[in-house]
Amino acid sequence: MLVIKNLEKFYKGTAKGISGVSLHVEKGDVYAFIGHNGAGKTTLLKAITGIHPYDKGEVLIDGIDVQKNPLEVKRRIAYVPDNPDVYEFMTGIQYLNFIADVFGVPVAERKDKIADYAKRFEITSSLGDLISSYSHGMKQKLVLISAFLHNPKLLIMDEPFVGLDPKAAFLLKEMMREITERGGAIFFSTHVLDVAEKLCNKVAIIKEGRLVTSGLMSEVVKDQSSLEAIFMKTVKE
Amino acid sequence: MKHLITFTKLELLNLFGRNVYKHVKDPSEKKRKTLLGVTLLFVALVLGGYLASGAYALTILGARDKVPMLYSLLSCIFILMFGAFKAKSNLYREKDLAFLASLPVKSLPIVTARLIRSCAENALLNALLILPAFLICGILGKLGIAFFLNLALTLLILPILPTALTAWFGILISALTARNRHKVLTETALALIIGVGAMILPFIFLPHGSSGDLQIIFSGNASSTEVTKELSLQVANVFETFENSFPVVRHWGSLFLGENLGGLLLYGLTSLILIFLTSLVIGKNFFAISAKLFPQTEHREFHMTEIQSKTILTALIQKEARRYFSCGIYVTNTIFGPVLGVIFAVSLGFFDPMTLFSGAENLPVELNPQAGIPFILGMIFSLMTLTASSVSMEGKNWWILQSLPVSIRDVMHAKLLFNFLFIAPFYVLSEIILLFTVQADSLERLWLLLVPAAAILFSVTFGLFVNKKLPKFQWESATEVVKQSAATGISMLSLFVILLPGMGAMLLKGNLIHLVTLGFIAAICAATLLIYRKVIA
Repeated sequence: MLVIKNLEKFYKGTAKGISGVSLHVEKGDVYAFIGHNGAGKTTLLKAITGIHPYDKGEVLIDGIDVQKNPLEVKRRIAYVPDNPDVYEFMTGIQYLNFIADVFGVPVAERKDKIADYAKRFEITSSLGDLISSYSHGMKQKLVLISAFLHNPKLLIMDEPFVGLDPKAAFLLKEMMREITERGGAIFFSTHVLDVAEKLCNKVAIIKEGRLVTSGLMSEVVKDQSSLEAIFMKTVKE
Repeated sequence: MKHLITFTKLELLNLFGRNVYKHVKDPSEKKRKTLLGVTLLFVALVLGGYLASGAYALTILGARDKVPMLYSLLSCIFILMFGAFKAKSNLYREKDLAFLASLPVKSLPIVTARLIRSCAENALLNALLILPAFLICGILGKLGIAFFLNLALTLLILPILPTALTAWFGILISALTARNRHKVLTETALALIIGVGAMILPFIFLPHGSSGDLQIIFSGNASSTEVTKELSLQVANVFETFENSFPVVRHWGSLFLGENLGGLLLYGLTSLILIFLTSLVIGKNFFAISAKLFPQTEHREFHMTEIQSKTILTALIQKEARRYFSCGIYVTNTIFGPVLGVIFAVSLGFFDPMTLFSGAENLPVELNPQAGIPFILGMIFSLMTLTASSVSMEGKNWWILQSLPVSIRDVMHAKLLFNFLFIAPFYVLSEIILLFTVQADSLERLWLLLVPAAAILFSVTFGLFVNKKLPKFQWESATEVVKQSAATGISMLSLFVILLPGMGAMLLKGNLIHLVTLGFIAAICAATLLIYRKVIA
């Protein structure tokens, strides 16, 4: 599904970036990506989605190179950023329709999905309001709904649980499972380690732009008490 | 006082982007900003050169004592022109409203700090406009220390009063807009009334006099002394007519001659009192007006109705339209050109185009204003394009288009097409009006149709090209993008320089006019095609 080979990306003029990152996300995976602030999580996620070009290495989604054929890749994925900065001059329904138009989601399908997801996230009644009037959590829900509209094969999310109320967080986990059950995969960054431990079958830990651990959750946590213990040990080293 | 200092420091911290420049780490970004700074400095030097040359000419022609008055007046007019429409967004900002409202700070220091920032920005513009001329005036006139001391004070004092006046424009527009439900429409209508009014009023109130007999100057038989004498007489005549019509300007201008330091200080004190009063007035209702200007929209229960699907391009164009019509400053800043185009077409029914060049009948070459009309119309339509800021307007939403499966070609096409769709009704309307207001043969009629169309095609494409090269995604207020960004400034200046040579057709006769016009259209279309290819790449 997602193959990253020796990825290198540095911000010009700084030593910040990522280096030698390789990992493999397969169908059905829920892959957690953890690291301290500034470790390079967002940089890697943006490189995978084609938002930021990278300097070296390869990112393949369904065997398609992100840099060589970005549009084909973007049709297969959905990206949820860490900050839900969406078009505030649109209403919620206008934004969802815009995204559905871009992905070519048929009218009947989009109508059903919008109705379903909006009901689950309890924002149906606000879909006619301007996004500028939404709270952070409502914007986050809107971005999540827009990400699920076109049945992405790979869902890439940057701290998706931030700003969500407990019910919405539960719903999101449920929807993540639905994606993996139909053969999709999820790769997301998070600071909520206990959620990652319970929800994900794979994990990667990044420190100062380099992967320090990656693989099956059961193998990474194996002899330790928890993912948190592993993470704290890794960060201190 | 403590809060005023804190907020003033905050406002001035990134004045002209210096703090960002200081801390930017990306070498290419630093290089880009340096290059931009050098370019702007070069433009400022060229402008300073022109202004100094003008002051030199006036000094040679015996009008040295009028130089301070003229350039001070010019500076005030520029500050008023540039400041009037950005005053609202300078004073009332949505981004940090909630943050400021949460602080234990009264509104007065916040407002005063914002006015100080405006004064600082205007002080630079003022220095740029008056310093070269005053220096020429002082040096050539061998004026004493009093004049230069006076100049130093003028640099500080002069921008205060026009800044206060622009703030009142801001208050007026904000107060009227805040009361109205259709805020963008109200703001646009007010801006158009004020803007068009400001352009028409000088025609009504400024004295109209003959510019005299220029034949003696261009005859070729006159000696340089005779030419200088004739020009001096005419310059003196113009100033006398102007000062007799506006005696207050004569007294006001005398403050800057270095002979009335007390008067200048009194003027400065009055300006300070007025701007302080302005602060008090704005401060009194700052949060109330802000809350009405940026309301949380009323909640309306949403019920799913019929949904229609659109093509990617249509969806993108619709998105462009929604963004455009949701931003008052974007609309008011770009609608002037098209509206003025229509007004120009109408005005041709009321006056002879030759009146635009009054005095030109005495020039050694025969002017053909009719040949210039298509070019004037083209320039009016082209100077303020939407596309010059449409990439920057994406701001923090840029990630959406970057992460969606849309090609850069589609994104750019949407921006171009929306600009064309926006300008089309104004263009068509002005062309229809021109059918009735301008007498022209079939070929001239064709140029009236094609030259503005070519200019619009070129300017819209060129504006997008410049903005794609110089995007500004990090901004707090749309004013930073629409009014103060490098892309809009460079685009406007370049378009003016590129389209101006077309006006040369007025100096030609017979078929040569048609040949040159055709050549201009061909050149502009070819340039448009080249730029278009770069834009969609």
